[in-house]
Amino acid sequence: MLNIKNISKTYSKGKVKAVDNISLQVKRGEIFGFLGPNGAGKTTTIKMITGILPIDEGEITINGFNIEKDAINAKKNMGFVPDSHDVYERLKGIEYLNFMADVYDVPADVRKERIDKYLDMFSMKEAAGQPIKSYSHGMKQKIIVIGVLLHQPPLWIMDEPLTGLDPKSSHLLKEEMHQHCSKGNTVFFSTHVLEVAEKLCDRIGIINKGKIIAVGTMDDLRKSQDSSLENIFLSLTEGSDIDA
Amino acid sequence: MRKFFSLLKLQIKAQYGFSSLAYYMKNDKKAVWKTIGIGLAVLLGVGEIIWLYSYLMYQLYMGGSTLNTPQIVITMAAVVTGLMVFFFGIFHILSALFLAKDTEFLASLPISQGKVFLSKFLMVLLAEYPITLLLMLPPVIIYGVGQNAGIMYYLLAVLCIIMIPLVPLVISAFLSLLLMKIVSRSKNRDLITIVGSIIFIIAIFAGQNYLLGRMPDNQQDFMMAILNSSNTFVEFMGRAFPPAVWITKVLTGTGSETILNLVYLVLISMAAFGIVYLMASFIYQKGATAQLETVSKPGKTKLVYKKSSSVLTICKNEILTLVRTPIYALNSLVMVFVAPFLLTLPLIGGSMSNDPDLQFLYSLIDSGESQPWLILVVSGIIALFMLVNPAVSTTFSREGKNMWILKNIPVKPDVQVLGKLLAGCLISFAGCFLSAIVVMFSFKISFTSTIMVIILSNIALIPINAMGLFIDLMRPKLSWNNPQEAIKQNFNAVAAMILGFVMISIFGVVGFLLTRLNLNTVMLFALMLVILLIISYALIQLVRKSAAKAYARMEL
Ligand SMILES: Nc1ncnc2c1ncn2[C@@H]1O[C@H](COP(=O)(O)OP(=O)(O)O)[C@@H](O)[C@H]1O
Ligand SMILES: [Mg+2]
Repeated sequence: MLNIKNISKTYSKGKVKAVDNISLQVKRGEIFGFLGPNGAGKTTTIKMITGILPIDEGEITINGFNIEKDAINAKKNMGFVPDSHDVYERLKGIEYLNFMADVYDVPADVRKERIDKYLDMFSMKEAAGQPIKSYSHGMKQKIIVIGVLLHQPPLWIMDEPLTGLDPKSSHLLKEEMHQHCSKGNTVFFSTHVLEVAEKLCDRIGIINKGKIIAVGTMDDLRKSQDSSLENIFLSLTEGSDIDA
Repeated sequence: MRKFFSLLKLQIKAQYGFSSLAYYMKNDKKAVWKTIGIGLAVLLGVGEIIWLYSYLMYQLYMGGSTLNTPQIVITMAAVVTGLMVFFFGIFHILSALFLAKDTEFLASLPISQGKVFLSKFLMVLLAEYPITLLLMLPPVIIYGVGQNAGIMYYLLAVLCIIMIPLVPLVISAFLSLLLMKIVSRSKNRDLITIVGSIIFIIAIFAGQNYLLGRMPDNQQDFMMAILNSSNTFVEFMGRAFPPAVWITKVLTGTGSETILNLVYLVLISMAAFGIVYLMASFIYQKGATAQLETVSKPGKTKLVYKKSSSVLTICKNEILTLVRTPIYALNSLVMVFVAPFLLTLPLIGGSMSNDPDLQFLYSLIDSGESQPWLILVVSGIIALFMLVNPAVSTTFSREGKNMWILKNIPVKPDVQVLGKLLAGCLISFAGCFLSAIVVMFSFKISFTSTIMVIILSNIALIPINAMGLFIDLMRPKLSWNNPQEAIKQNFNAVAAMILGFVMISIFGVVGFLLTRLNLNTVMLFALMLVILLIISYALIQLVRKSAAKAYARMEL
């Protein structure tokens, strides 16, 4: 589904190597957690996957489409929820959703049904008629999530999705991630909280200082004797109750 | 195509905020009335400018008529419009295409970069029409009424007005694409963006000046040619902006001339646009996303821990963010460099250096050295240039979502306001200072007069800046998607500029009345200074007094 091959990214001409020769394969139907401390390179990697940042070296394919050479098709196969919830503030929620439906070719006949379903599900029915400016942080995130779910993307990518959601919304989102995968789709999300990844993911990739340290199921990773991995685990567990 | 229109619709809604406007109309009646009130006040100011402009155009039309070339009024207006659109367009294009905050979002959507470019280009084009209409309608009506033109003339005029901003914007877009291509490879992007665009603008002005300067060698022959053929002058003016010639001929020519020039106008505008569109569909996105990579300086930078007073802290913070956000820096600093440059034009030569009018002006200034009014006029001109500076009038708007910081810090609003005012005045000061120094050389003004000019123009700008600050304090635009909305599409900036223009007119009248008192230069200077200082004090007090309440009212 998602194939990342030896990608690297350096910001500002060779001084900071944010992503250093990363390779990953994410299979159809799995929830993949991208785990790492702040500044590890998660957002940078995700921006390259979603075609926002140019890739310095290596290549990425989504459902077989190369994100740089066949960008439009690759992008049609995914939906992206960024970590900053900057949306067009002066639009109403419903206007934003209609825009997303247009752009991702959601057929007219299923559009209303899907919009209603997700608005209900995330208790956003009332808010949808109001300007996004009046939304809370969590509401903004919810409207973005709904916008992505509208076109049922084969690959659903989220950057730190659970930060800032209330327990109910957070639970709903996790449910929806499972639902999405059970239909044969794939979810790829980043987090800096070990517990989140542990509970939710089929497989986990751990990134630190731009490099992948380990990939596997939680059990695999726990069994590993690598001491640097243990340190990472520790740093991701500590204080996680504050960040989560 | 459907996706493209969807995108265009989104951008229009997001930028002009119709949806949220309708929402607030329903929920906040008071805000609506306030908006209407401010709108009316601005309309009055705009009225003054339109009236002045129409009067000038009428004079030009009458003058042209006696030379049998009434159509020069159309040419002139089209040239002015073209240059204005170009001038404002280049910032607008740069900010919409490369410095916008929705770049990331749009880059992640399955829409080709060509279409994203197109939608943004059209947005900017749309925003240029108000000024185009303002500048073109008076001359079109003056000529139309004067010549008893028929319905066909007005229809063609509408078409021409629609076409005018296209070529200047295409050129702006082309230059910005090139600039961004260069910038995306370099290290210090912000600096290059700012310096590059200022150089572009200055280069364009210099080029224009050079073109116009190439008068036929023999002025007598030229005058004869103008008298013999009504089109010589039109073509001469049109060198600055060729579409102006086509437009003139479309509107004032007959039969085949009209059609031929119409074809030129449309075909060449479209072709130019086509080329830029093609170029954009290959290089636009790279340039745009490159802007996302902020540069971290290699090596260790020394951290400074220093204490300074509240006013200075606010002022410093204001200037730092201004200078480090390219779109803010561009808009606020451009006049600081362009105004002095414009004032050097007579020195460099070109159109003005051997101009008999200029020689006359010099002799006037020479004899005027003893004439007290000289310093008032020069200060007024410099102050007018420095009006084009949205730094103060968008200061709260630019805070945007960060406004909570200012509301939260333990510094009183009336002190914060002073810091912001100081920052704006420092920028004006830089501009006045540079301009006055240039004027000293290019218009041969004495050193003492120059000093007086620097002081007067600066003090005159204090109440104007305070008023701009007041406007933004009362009605800040805190919610925006990209920084350009805070500064470029901010009504407060326009309102402040227009009210500033009105204030300078008033100072002008006051100054004129003072010259009637037959004072000597020093006395006149001193009197004017005292008046301006009193007005400054009053406006600063107004701003300080209203600060706390205004802060409380700002909802985040
Ligand atoms: N726009 C940018 N310009 C320069 N460096 C950046 C930029 N964004 C991130 N970085 C650097 O890249 C590294 C990885 O950042 P990021 O991918 O945002 O980490 P994460 O999302 O895992 O917290 C960090 O060292 C960060 O300082
Ligand atoms: Mg991140």
